[in-house]
Amino acid sequence: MKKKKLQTKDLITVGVFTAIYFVLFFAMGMLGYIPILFALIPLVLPIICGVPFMLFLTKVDKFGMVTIMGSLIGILMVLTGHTYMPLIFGFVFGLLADLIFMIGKYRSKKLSIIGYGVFSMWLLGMLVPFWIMKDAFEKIMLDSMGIEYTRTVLELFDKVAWSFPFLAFLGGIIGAFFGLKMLSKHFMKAGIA
Amino acid sequence: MEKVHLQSKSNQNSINIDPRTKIFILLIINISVFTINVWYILALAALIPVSLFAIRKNKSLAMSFSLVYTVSLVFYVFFIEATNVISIMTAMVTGIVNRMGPGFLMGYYLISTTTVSEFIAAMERMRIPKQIIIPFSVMFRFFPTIKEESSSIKDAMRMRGISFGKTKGSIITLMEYRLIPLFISCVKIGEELSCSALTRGLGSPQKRTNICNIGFSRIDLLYGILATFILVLWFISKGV
Repeated sequence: MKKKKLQTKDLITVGVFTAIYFVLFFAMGMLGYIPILFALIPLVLPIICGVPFMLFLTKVDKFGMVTIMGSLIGILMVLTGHTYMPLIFGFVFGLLADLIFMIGKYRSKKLSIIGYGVFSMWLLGMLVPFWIMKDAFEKIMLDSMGIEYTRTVLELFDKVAWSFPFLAFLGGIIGAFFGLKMLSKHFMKAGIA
Repeated sequence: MEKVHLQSKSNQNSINIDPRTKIFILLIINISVFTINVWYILALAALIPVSLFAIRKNKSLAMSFSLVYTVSLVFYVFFIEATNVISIMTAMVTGIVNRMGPGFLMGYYLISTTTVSEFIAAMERMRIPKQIIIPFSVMFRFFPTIKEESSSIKDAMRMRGISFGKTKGSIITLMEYRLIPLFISCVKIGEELSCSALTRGLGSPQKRTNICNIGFSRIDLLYGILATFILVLWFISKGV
């Protein structure tokens, strides 16, 4: 396969879709301020954002576009006052997803579903700070509540926390199916997919 | 009232610091505040955006933030003897405010006081590749468009009797009615934008010129030193 270089047109496409993805993501992310729903964030967000991403993928035919999108979302996260972690995660998972899409030459349905699952895992970058802050909470709880209680709570946290990567991946898979369904239902008809 | 982020006109009258300094401060705040628990570093980190907002004559925001932050910090430092569920909850809430607050405020300062052109100029000076700069500026050009389109579609749908609470069917259906037209119009606008940008020479290999005047001044030096000081304190208390 001949390696094609990124054109300015492609870069603009990346910008447009990153904007749509981010607005949707941010609006939905507000749900995360409701404490109980917080645990569902890694599952719900990728499902909703699956539609614009699948639409984006129909425009992608060169290596690098998904990577740039991941990095851009990471930069936006840093600029809106999250940690520097989303930037690293965004780049890495964007790159991985890009590689997966490339194997399917950006046209394989199966690989694009898996790829979006991988891409969605960048969300973990936002949750990593809570792992870091865990030590602080552990200390507070140890002083006051006793070892037994602390251990129970932290074990519970660990149990829930380990599910986040899988939740994000699962959310991505569901979101990709949902997006593909919407694609064939609306966008093909409108002639823009 | 209209809030404008990364607006296209800059406010010439007020003192502005270089976008690069803003990014530098933001990075240092993000790195130091999240991984540390020392109250004077947190206070210093919060002081930077607060004073920046105060200089920009946005006194109400600066005052209210510093009030909330001081209360939260005092609670965190002095009332940490958690003995019941309520105080643990307090510790968690204040902990989140203390760690998220400065970075969030600084991020808000960055996007609310920098114009897109200034940002692009700063990024070009920092030798960031155009593969990042172009999508980045398109993105910020697009945020207001999305908002506009979204509200027009909302109106159009209301005219047809589709809105929250009135329509039968699930939230998913409602979102489909609202979001799918939004995506379609955004894609169309994006294509037009891409054509118009190309005709204006965005795709040319030449280096672009920029009329924005950015540069470091004394106030940048002051804030740069302050931020570096926080980094030094952070290294010391980390024991590196």
